[in-house]
Parts: sequence; C-alpha cells; structure tokens
Amino acid sequence: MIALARLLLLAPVLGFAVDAAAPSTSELSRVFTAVVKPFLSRECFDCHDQENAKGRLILDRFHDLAAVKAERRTWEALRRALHDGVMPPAKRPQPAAAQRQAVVAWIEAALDHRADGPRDPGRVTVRRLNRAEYNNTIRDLTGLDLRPADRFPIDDSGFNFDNNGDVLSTSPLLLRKYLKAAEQVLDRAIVVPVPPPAVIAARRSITLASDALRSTTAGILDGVDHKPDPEPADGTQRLKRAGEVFVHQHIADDGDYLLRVRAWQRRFDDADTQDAEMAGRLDGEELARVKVANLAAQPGEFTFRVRLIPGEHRLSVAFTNPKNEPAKRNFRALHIVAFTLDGPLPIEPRPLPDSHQRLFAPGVGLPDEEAARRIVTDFAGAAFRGPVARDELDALLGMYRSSRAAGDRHEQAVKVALMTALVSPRFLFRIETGDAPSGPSAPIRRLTDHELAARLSYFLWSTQPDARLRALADDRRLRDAAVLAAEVTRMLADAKADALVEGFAGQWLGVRAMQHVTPDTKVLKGFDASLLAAMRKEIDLFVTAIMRENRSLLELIDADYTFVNDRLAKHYGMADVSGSEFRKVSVAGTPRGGVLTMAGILTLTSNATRTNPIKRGKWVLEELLDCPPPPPPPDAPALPEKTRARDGKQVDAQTVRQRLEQHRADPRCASCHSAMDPIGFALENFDAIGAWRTVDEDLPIDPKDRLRDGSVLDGPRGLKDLLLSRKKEFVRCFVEKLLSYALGRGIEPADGDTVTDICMAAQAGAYVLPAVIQAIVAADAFQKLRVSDAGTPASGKHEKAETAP
Amino acid sequence: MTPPIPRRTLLKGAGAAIALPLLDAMLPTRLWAGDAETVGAGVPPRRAVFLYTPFGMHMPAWTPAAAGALTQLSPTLAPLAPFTDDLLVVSGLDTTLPRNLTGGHTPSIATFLTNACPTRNNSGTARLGMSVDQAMARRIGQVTPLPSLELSCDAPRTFGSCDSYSCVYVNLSWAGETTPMPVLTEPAEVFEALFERSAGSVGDPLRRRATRASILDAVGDAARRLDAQVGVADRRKLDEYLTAVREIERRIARSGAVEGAIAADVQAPAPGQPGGYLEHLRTLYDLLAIALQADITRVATFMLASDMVNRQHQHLGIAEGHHSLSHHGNKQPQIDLLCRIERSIVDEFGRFLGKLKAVREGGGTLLDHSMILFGSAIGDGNKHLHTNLPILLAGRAGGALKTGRHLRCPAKTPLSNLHASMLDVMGIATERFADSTGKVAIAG
Repeated sequence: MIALARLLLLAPVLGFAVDAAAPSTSELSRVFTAVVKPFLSRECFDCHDQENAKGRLILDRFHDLAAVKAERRTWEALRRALHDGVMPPAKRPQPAAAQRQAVVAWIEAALDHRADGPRDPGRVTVRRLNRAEYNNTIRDLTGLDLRPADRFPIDDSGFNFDNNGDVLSTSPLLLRKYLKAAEQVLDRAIVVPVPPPAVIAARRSITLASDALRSTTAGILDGVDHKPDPEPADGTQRLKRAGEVFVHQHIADDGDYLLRVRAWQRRFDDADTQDAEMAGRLDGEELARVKVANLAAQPGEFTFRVRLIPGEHRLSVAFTNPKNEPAKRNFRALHIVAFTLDGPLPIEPRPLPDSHQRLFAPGVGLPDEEAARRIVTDFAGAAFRGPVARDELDALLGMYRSSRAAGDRHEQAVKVALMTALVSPRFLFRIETGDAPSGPSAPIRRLTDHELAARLSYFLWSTQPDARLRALADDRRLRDAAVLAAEVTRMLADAKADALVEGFAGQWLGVRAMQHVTPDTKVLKGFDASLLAAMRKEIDLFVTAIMRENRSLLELIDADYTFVNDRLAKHYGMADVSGSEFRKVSVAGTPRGGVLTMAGILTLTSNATRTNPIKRGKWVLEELLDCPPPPPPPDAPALPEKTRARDGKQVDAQTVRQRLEQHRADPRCASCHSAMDPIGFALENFDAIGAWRTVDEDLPIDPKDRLRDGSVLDGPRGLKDLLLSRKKEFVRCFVEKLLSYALGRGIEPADGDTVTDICMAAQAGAYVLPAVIQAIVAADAFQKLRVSDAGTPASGKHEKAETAP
Repeated sequence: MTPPIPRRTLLKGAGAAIALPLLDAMLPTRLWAGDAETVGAGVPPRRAVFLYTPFGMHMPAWTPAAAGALTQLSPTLAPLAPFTDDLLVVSGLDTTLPRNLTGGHTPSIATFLTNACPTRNNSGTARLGMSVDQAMARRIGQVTPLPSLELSCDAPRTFGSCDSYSCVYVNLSWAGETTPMPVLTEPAEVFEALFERSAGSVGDPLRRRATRASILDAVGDAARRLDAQVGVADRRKLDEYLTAVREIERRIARSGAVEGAIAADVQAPAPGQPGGYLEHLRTLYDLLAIALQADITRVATFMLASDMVNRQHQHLGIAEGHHSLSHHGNKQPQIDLLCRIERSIVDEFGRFLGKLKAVREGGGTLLDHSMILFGSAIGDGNKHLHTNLPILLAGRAGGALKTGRHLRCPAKTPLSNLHASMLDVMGIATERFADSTGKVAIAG
C-alpha cells in the first residue's frame, strides 16, 4: 500500500508520460520489479501462466526489461488490452484505475526505451541479385535494357520482400539461365565482325503467308491478360493491341536480307490523322519503325534490311501504337498479309552499336592483349562492385587468352572474358566481409566503402553503384556522414529511384500482386485491363510523390490529393477529367485520399465477386500496424447464409456486414474479429473494385461500428483518424519494413533499439520519407556488420565435376 | 545410328497442344546405357512421377467401394476406366501434420512429398526436409541429362503470405531442408530446359557448349576461393552456387545424344503462357510425357494447380472457384459442382496416362515402366483434414507394382510409408523415409 501511494505520487516525477525525458534502464527495471510484475501476478497469471496459457499467451516468463523489449508485439497488444479495458475480462475483479494506468504508462515507456551503447548491426546472409536487380545491373553495365531476368524463375520472398538473402537460392536451372543471359546480352552488346562470306549464296525469296505467321497478342502482355483476338476472315494476321506477328526462320547462309512485310492499317475512326506504326524486329531487337498509311484496298510493302548470320532467328513486326475505345467500337489495327524474306545479298557495312563502343573504349588504339587487359579490368571493376584481386583478373584474362588460342577473334575473346565475369559469384552475389581490422577480429566491423556503396545503390536504385558512387568509394570518402547524406539526396532525386517505389511499395502495398487479381467481370462490370493499369499507376505515382516531394509518411494514411487519369476518375465518380495521362487532383472533402481508399488496395483485399471486410481488416492490421491477428482455429464453422427471393432467384438476405456480425455473437470469434471486422466495415462503402456505393445489393450500407474500447468508428474518415491516432505504431511498422528491405534480412528483437532510433529520427524530421531513409542509411545496421566466424577457411571439399571424355 | 524424331512432330506455338514425337524402339537402348548394373541393358528404366492436385477430393465420390481387385471404379475415378488394370488406389493414408493445424493449404503442398510441417512465422529460413522425388533424383538422376523436372501450372506467389505461412513453402519439391527446387511453368521454358534450345539461338552449339564448360570451370574456381573468405551462413549460399556449377558441368559432359535426337527444325514453343488453364495443363502434360519418353529425366513432379489460386473452371461452365466449392458446407449443389471439377481433373490425368500408354518401349509401354503418384495432402477439403488422403498410383514400374486393385491401409498409416515403398521400387533400398513407420504393400 505504501509503495502504491508512493508510485501515484512519483509517477509524474518518474516521467512516465510519453513525451517526457526517457526514463533510464535502471528506473524502468526498478518499476518493473516493484509494480508491474506484482500487478501481472495478481491480475493475469491465473489465466496466463505456463500451465493455463489462455489464448496462447504466457506472461510469467518475462523477468526483465530486455525480455519485454524482445517481444514488442505481445506487450503492445497487452498495453492495448489493458488500456481498452478488455483485460482482465469483465467477469473478473478489475484492478484500480490508477494501477492500470501506471502499468500502461510503464509499457509505453519500456517500448520507447533505448539502451545506451552501440547497436548490434546484425548479420545479412550474402544476397544474390534478384530479378529486378539483375535486370537493372545489366542495363547499367552495358547500356542495353534487355531485361533477361524476366525469363528467370521467380525469386522466393522472405518477410514479404524478394531481396532477402536467406531465401534467395541458386539452382542449376538458375545458373543455366545466368549463362544464357550472359551470352545473349553480350551477343547483343558486342559485335564480332564476321567476315563476309567469300561467295554469296544464290539469292532466294521465301514468302510466308499469313497462316505461317504467329501473333503474340494472346496471353499475358505487360502483366495484363489479353484474350486472343479472333482471326479476321480475310486471312490476315490482325493486331488490335500491342503485340507482334512473328516467324521463326532457320537461316543457312550468311548475308544481308530484306524482310518485306505487306501490311495495311485500319484507322481508329474517320477523323483520325495518325497512322499505325510498325516496328520491324530481329530476335526481339528493333530494326526500324515505319508508318503504315495504307488501307485494306491497297496494302503497302515495307522493307527492313538486316544482317543474318546462320542459325535460327525470330523475325517479327510489332504494332507500337494501338488505340481503342471499346464503348464506341473504334480501334486502330494493323493487318499483316505476308512476310517475304529476300536474300542473301552482299553485306553493307554498319556502325558499331553504342554498347560496343562503350565497352571497347578503354582499349582503343592499343594492341589486342593490352586492350583486352584494360577492357576486362574496367568491366570487372564495375561488375564486381569493388577492387578486383590479382588472381581474379588473371582468371578472366586467362579466358581471353584461351579463346584466342582456340582461334577466336579479339572481340569474341573479350566477349568470353566478360561472360565469365557475368556468371562469376562476385557479380551474382553481394558479398560483404567488411573492413579487415588490423588487430584480432572484432565482432563488429564497418563495411568497406565499396560495400556501402553497393548497399546504398541496391537499396535506393536496385542497381549497381554509378560512377560517382564508385569514385567516392575509391577515395574512401563515402564513409563521411555528410557525403553520405548528400549522396542519398542525389540518389532520391534521380529517376533510378523509381526502383525503390517499385520494389518496396510494389511488395509492401501489393502493387505487384495486383497483376494477378481476377474480379468477376460479370458481377463487377466496370473492371478491365485499363482500369487495373490505372489502379497500379495511381499508387506508384502517389508513393513517388511522397518520396520525391519530401512529404510525410502519414499521407499514406490520409492525404488530400491523389493521381488519376480519365479512366480512374470515372471509376471514382470524379467529373472533368479527360485524357489518359495521369495528373494530380485534389480529393479534399471527399472520402478518398490515402492508400486505404485507393481502388488497387481495395480490389486486392476483396474477393472475386464481393467485398471481404475481414481481409481488409487483416490487411490493415498486418501491413499498417504490424499487429497481425492470429489465424482462425481449425474448426471455425462457416457462417450460415440466409437467402431471400428477388427477381426469381435466391440472393443474400443480408449485407456482407450483417452476415459477419455473427462473429460478435460468439465470444470465441469476437476476440480476434472485434479487431478486424470494424476496419473492414468502415470501408464497406467501397465495393470489391474500389468504387463508392451506398447499397450492397439493395440493402443500405452501415459503415459505423463500435470498437472494443467503446469508441465509434465511422467510415473512411473515422478509419483514417483511428490510424492517425495510432501513428506511432504505423511509423514503426513502416520503418521495420523499409529497414528489412534496405538490409535484405528480417528484423529481429536485437534490432529493436535501432528501429526506435529511426522512429525518433523520423519524428524529428516531421515523418518525411527522405528523413526516414536518411536515418536508415545512417544506422549502424546499415553501415556495419556483425562477423560470426569469417576467416575460417573452408575444408576444401568441392572437387570439380568429373567430365566424361 | 539414332534416328531423328520425324517432322511429324507438331511442337507449335504456345497456343497449340504438343503432339508426342513418334520415337521408335531403336532410340531408348542407347540412352539407357548408364543403367547396366541396376537394370539389364536394353531394359527400359523406371520413371517416377508425382502429380499434386489442390483442395483434396470429395472422398465419398473418390474412394472405390470395395477393397481388393478393382472391379468397380468410383464416380470420380470413372474417367480412368481404360486404365483400371494399371491403377493402384491406396486409401487410408494420413499426413503427420498436427491435428489442430490452421490454414491447411500451404502445409498440404509443403508436406505432400516431404512429410514435414512448415513453421508458421514469417521469420528466418524456411525449413522442411528433402522430398521423396529429390531423394530419388539424388540416387538415379545422374545418368540422365536432367536429374529431375519440376513443373507447375501456377507460378509461385511472391507477395504477402500464403495462408499465414511464408510463400517459400508453396513448393512440392525440396532438395534439402532449406532449398526448394525452382519450378518451370511456361512451355517455352520447359522446352528449353529439356532440349537446351530456344527461339533465336545463334551460332555453333558445340562451340557454345565448350565455351560454357570453360566458363563454369573458371567461376567454380572463383567460388571456391571465395568460400574460404566468408562466414558459415554465406558459405551455404556459395555452396548452392557450386553445386549448381557442378551440376551443369555434368550435364554438358553428358549432353549431345538427346539434342541430336530432336531434329533441328522442330520449333520451340513461343514464350508466354498459353491462354486458358486447360491448354496450359495439357501442354505441360505433353512436355512431361516427351521428357520421360526421351529419357531426359526419370523423376518429375507436377503441381497441376496451386491451392493459392481459387480457379474458376470456365471450360466446365462453373463460375465458382475451386477453393470456394471445396468449402461446400455439406450443401449438395456445391458438392455436385465440386465433383464435376474433380472428375475433369481426373479426366485430364487420364489423357496423360493415355499418352504414356501409346508409347511403345522395350516390349511394353512407357506407362508400364512408370510409377505415377496422383493425389493431394488434403482429404476432406471442407474441413481441411489432412487424413484419409486421396492417393493413387498408376503404371506398373516395370512389373514392380501390383496394379488393378484398391489397397486399404490400416488406420493412421503415414504417407511417408508410401514414399518409402516407392523408393524401394525405384531400386533405392530404404529402411525409413522421413517419419515412416513401415511400408505399404504396393509391390507385386
């Protein structure tokens, strides 16, 4: 009793309020032992000890502050349960209000607590480049945006991100793809001069009529599933959407060939002044683009001249400017009548492509062997993202020399050396060993400047460091805090930072997942591919704006603007938006604004034919507040349905919400559903594809609900206010996810203080996204690594494969 | 002299189903050279195929009425009537997933061939165990160009969680505790994996192969050097890389016979997904049949559909998703629709069996020399029960299986017992596999 009285007096003095100066470790520990533990013992252990473990919650195993901090989620849930009056349950005797408040205050302070002393940076398992990173890195190394990784197997993801080192694995299949990709990229980047044939074979003309041609408008294109165009009756191949008409042709004789294409266009409508555009392509690479003005009555013949070396080639023409307006049945189309391949002809000389010139630049004017040395050194330095060891360079040059010895030309031999670099583990993996200490190994090391540069560029750009970052690393200036911060600012302003939006928001907010949604268009009639594309673009542009315009994270919850084009505006019921380009619009005074009201998220969290409030509630809890609900018990029964007759068939007698209210009736269900369902109900005015509605079937929608602490949640505005009132949790959730993405590993209890540091920095920076990013980059977890047992030599157990003669 | 596959081969664009090449009996014996010890020279080798179907089966319609000789097929199995003598229906098998398991779908996929249970939290490394197909591939895979083949009609999901589990667990085939095998989904990719050929390959294949071999040699050395400098967890990742290098070197050394067997003008399928599930399914079934026939591999797994996809079988005119229907709540109209879907799945399986039966080899058919496990690790999909599983074996495994019957296992027989017996049939003497407690009497 005396202790209690003293606590009541001392509580303010001990600074338990959230905003006061943080109590020290010893203070918190003292109060834990003196107040919190006895409280739990009295009020909680009857149900929540090892033996009973009601609700799978065991509270008698927490003995100190560290244990509490190691299980934040549990204690956050406990804090809320105590604060909302949900625990102890009503039928048990209740503690005094002051005691309850004191414990709640203590938990808040404990969760805000940060230890003194250095932070544990954790360990990141060596990460191989994922698909996006591989594509971008190849693009920046060679100047060619070929995206070979689009054909790689999908990367597994851990903690929701596909750049997590622990789950990225390498299989023989993948390695074979790497080999092939390296060949294809360098075959394209480097032109090996093939001497023209001594004798040009006899010229022939092969005409491939329309039925020998194939088109690729069917299937998945741009991530959107197109149904195949029915063949028009006139025997041509018609392209109504972006796609190609192609043929695979085996070429026996080296030489130039003329690809002649007979084609005509269908105009969009009589008033259209634009002609159809057709791009000729060889093996996917564009040769030239022509306008097809001809109409059906008189098809035109278009010629592309191309050098073909013997082998199998894919010759195609692509329709590059489709346009259609389904409502009025207007569309532009390209009709292909026939391909003719004419040749071989004497070869015309062509200039070397940019990529070739760039790669060979270091060796210009030098004898072959020396040129090769320079070229390979430069390339490997960039590809390996750091200093190239002597033996590594020798190995690559060895490939050059044996290639020459086998009779290859200089350019081919260089190609082989560069291919080897692109399949080398130093390219495919981001290996971090840290600055080697001069003394005995310390458990924590700084990353080298080059390793830091790589972490930075893969975090913000999903690609290799650029020349400036490399130069700073070479000079060991990147470790300077001011230089680093300036680089972050520069990098965020660069267009390459779009990769951060694509990679992080794409996975966290599920934009990538949106390409797989399949709303039932019989029920949800407004849905089609262009609406889906608009939904994704809205989210991309919104997050990009927050990143590039220095805006607060909290706008993700609640903003007075968004981005729409005509299609999306119509879907949202906005007037006066015409044209398919996106533009920023104000949504002040409307329910829209913030990701929860964006059609993409609303569709992702719905079923194919109707909304799913539980899914939406779960999504908010998991992705925005980091307090995922436990999974349902195995014997959860299906909710009974009531139907009524309408228009001669049986339809639901209740709104979705009314059916789900049954969760509340059963206390076993209510414990979890009381957290999820109200959130979903608040969004019920948005249908399964995010359009606003006031009735569900013909029954009115009620977006109001009572939360378990007694307060009322009313509609989207109410939900946004609720989330803003829990902004600490939201910010922490966001920071943990972004940190996980930045590091390429999951966040562990040992990272708790690091996360708190970053949250504090975010708060100090008015929660603007760049401030969060700067704080992440400045953290020890980003700049250092914990060394477990590096330096122990492997046992040398890998023999080479036996090769059969 | 190995005859090339005749031009009648109709490997068309991604849109068309692929007709089997008409290999004749002369082809196989040369290819089976590696088997002289285990199988007599010239005797066709045994193939093992594992087919997974999601959401279980409506067991009252699946399970044949009587045990013993298979005289009467059940309604769901009726489409397999032409193959009754080649079937071994095994009922009463259970997984060893915990009884109170929630979110049954990811665990079903994860456990089907591994018998292990995934852990729920999204943290750290996903851990399961080696799957039975990889246990086979490890022993017999080295004599074929591909040790094993993993196919799926549904690409793995990479976003969010799968039934509250990490999506890494949505993989049937596992090379080890932490290494799921990557799957191929697109026909063009499968073709390329089988024949090392794709649209647009340029240049001399032999020279390309030699270059690849020396590149692999060089990077293998580089990886071994790096191995010495990194920590334990990193070494595991580099070891995966080195294993991959070794595997491709081995394949390069062995290849040549198969690629030569396919005539140069057989076209690779175009890249992309075929429109429509049915076409996709049939195309992959056909490619699987070719892979087995040409002895490119003897071990394969095929996820016919993923539990993560609530597929609407539009070609059957059914608008409700398969997953939704599997939770029928005991309402007869839903059960009827579900059974129609299940019958159609079995029908497509029958079509595949028909393809295998049409290939003559070594005095029998390809089906005679195969052992195909078809089923799911969910029994009653309505309640997510992982007991009393729908399982059958098709094919005679060269006479090792006693087919044409319905075998009822005693209560609580683990699925791993069947796996252990299958390993025996493939010539891999096995005391235990995973958590097996004995064997299932599948042998003749």
